[in-house]
Amino acid sequence: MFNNLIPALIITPALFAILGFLFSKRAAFFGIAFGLIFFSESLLLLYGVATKSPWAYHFGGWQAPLGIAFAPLRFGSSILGVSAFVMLLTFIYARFSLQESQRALFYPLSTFLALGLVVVYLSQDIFTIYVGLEIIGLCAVGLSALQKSPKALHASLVYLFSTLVASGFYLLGVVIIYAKYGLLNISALIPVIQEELPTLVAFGFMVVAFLLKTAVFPLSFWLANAHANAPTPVSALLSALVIKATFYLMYLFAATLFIFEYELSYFLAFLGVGAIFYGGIKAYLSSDLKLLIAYSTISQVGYLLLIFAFIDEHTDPSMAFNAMAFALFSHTLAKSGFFLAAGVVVHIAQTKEISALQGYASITPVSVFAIALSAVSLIGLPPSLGFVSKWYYLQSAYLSESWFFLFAIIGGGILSAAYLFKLLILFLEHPLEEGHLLRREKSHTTLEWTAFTLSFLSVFLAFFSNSIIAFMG
Amino acid sequence: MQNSTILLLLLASSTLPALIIFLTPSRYVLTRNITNLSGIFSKIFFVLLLFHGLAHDEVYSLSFAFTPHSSIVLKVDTLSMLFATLSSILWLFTTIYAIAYFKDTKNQNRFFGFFSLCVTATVGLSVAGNLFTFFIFYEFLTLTTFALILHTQTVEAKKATIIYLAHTIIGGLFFLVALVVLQSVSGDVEFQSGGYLGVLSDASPLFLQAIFVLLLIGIGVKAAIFPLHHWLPSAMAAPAPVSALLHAVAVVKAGAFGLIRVVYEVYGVELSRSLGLLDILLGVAVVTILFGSIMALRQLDIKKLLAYSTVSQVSYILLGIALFGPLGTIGAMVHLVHQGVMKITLFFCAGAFAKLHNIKKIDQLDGLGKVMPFGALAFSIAALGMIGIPPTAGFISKYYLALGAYENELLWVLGVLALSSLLNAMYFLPLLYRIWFLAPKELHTQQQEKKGANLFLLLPALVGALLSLLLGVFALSDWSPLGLAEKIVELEYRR
Repeated sequence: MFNNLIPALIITPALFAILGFLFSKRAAFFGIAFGLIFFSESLLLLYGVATKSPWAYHFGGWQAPLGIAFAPLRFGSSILGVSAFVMLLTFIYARFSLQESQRALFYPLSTFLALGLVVVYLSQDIFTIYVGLEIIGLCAVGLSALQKSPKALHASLVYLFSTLVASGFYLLGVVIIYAKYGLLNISALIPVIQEELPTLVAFGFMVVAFLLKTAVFPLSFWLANAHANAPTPVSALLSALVIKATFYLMYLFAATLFIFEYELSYFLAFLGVGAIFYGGIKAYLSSDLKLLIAYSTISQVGYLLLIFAFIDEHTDPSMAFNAMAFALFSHTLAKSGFFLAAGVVVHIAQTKEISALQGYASITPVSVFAIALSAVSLIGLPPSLGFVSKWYYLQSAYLSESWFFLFAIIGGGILSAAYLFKLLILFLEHPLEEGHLLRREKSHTTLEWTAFTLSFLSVFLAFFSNSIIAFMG
Repeated sequence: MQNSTILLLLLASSTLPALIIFLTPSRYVLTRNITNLSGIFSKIFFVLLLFHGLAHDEVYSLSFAFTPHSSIVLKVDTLSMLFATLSSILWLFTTIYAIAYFKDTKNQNRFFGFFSLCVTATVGLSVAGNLFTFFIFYEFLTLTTFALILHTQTVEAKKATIIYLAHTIIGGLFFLVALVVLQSVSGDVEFQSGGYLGVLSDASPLFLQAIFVLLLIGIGVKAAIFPLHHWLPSAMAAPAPVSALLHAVAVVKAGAFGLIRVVYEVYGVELSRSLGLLDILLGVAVVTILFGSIMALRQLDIKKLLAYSTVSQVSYILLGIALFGPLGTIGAMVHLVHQGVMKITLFFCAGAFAKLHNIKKIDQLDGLGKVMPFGALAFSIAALGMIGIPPTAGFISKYYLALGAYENELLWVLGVLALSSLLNAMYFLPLLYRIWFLAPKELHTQQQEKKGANLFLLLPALVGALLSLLLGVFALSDWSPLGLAEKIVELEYRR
């Protein structure tokens, strides 16, 4: 049964994307049906990975040098599983929050996006990964342009150019490597790869591509506007799923292929610190709710990059890995919940202006609670996934005596507490006018609780940290 | 019933009501109150069950691997019982009081929900079996209390919340760093009487001292030690039941209780003394005691006066910890309970004065004894207790602290105690003089009479005052806080 799982994971999104596109009146139905099937498949995949390892699938039975190999790794499959879950809830949310014309495009595009995610997380072939990246990039740009305001269109145009340039860089890297070694399969490349100029140049291109696509400071210029001006479910997908895919590749390549000097990976970690503070300060200064969340994403991406400070360390590398993995899961769940909950608030208020959102805790308490839970995880207060991440990062920093990073992690925590509590305090204050209460509709209940589920899980799953760590090995 | 189940039920008995309360619209007063009170009584029941079990040498502990390197441990010892009992009994009082106090106001479900969660946090702190678990509940306490401080939604409340969060979040980070470092060195260890850091032969004294300072800052923030006390007076913007809770059990006690655990069960008192940690603590405590009292003297606002009085009184607990030897320790632990009971009574009274007669300033107290004799009586008893006049509970605490100082031959500490008692008298007695001996002013009569509410505002205060007397009079009974403290101390100094 598990042998056919990988083709199934690829065919399902392709099929449902086409169905949703053809029957655009029923796009939501196909979308949510897809979400359910996709999530079940990814759970099966996790079960398969846990019981049967190592495990590779060769399309058409062709072996690696010629054929395309797919090999689910534990980490990649876990991210795929979480992504499928976020996708399912976001699809349910979108059914109630988007207009019909938007739905007709939203579901097929994001279903197709899932195909790209499957390819990126499961493929072992650097060219196939390129195809996956292109699928993700183009779907993401299309999604971000769903809001037809001039601001949104401008942002998605910038996004389009950035992602195309990045894809081009990545492809260049692939071409150089293929020309040099005649191989595309990662596990086949590992033993033969040598530290030579062309290889290093290729890797350089790839890293820049990943940095740009993951929106690592200072290449994060495209993210804030693209995420903030998109419709809410799109913002959730873009920040929770899309940037994670390229970060995952960066980590995977760094852990397997790249033969960097220690200094270079340290440089990446410094970029991470830059991102933490740049994103945090911009988030603190934002007067637009969705922009605040988008800048917070930039800041949180920085925490993912901190792993590169500890990747070459003599101390236990599994600690830094746990830290990064939990930061990733925490951000995926917390940020999608945050965006979805903020969407409800914005929908009721009809404005994204933060100062106008005073007192919304009495108008939509469940959304504000969801935001609070997300905040707990993003700040890294216990017990949350974010806390586990912070705990392991601090421990790694202490054990490797990286005082700079230790202080950066602490400072970042204070900064995120500052902008998130500022928001929460505002929500808990006296409402500006009680009339808003009337604008809360029945349909908001589903929206609120889908958001709440995601945010709640970003806190609650921490109680299963031990099992999660055990699963990822 | 399995022993570990009781621990979970103990925590659930305030968490579940909180969830139900959050989901119940604010206007369903009866549903909310019934849920709340059944939670409280079941918690008190579980506490009694634990007492019964401990008396029969039952062991209650529950361990759960949070990550491969750190586990959540809940376990019950006599010290836990001291704090858990205090929390659950005072939860009862405060809830009854708060129901009357918040009658017909908005957002009550928010208040009572967070309030119950706050009790989960304090009870969690009391049964936390290692520093990691303690930290989790400690941060949880921050999260649940900030919403309470903000409850009135006024400008001052907002300011107070920001100050509070700035102090506790940054303090929490100090705690976190200390914890990360400690756990890297010692591994995943539970609290032990006598401490567990003593066996680490390779840790240098300087290292252990540095960690202690981090912990002192991180935990001391909540105990409002000087100069990290600013949040406490400003948090007076919160409504009276919140202040009562913050001052008596929740936040400041969490800090003091944490320091007790750190000194006795992480470092161990012997190691703490040889590293000079007790001297650091003594210095901080003495400065805070005198500072708080002097600041209290200068206040015109009743709640502010009480706040500074708390700053000073909580440091008596630290002083007791800092005095090496069983007597000081007993003083610290007893004061943890006694101060809670007396302070909550004072706040209940202050809240009742404000609510019923709009009295907030000290000079408005004139002749209050004739207007609300019972409230004034409760206030006076608790105030006398704070000064330490026998036979109140406060006398017992101070008596043991003084004995502890004498035992250590720290005569100057005796001087400090005498001076601070004098200061206590200087800021409390004028209030009592005004209440009982001056003629009432006109403004008392302007308030309408609310008989029912009146009763429930005053009843908890009167019971609190009665308790402050009984705790003093029956201090020598086995199950008094003093009796329990003696048991704990026996364990610590047995070796």
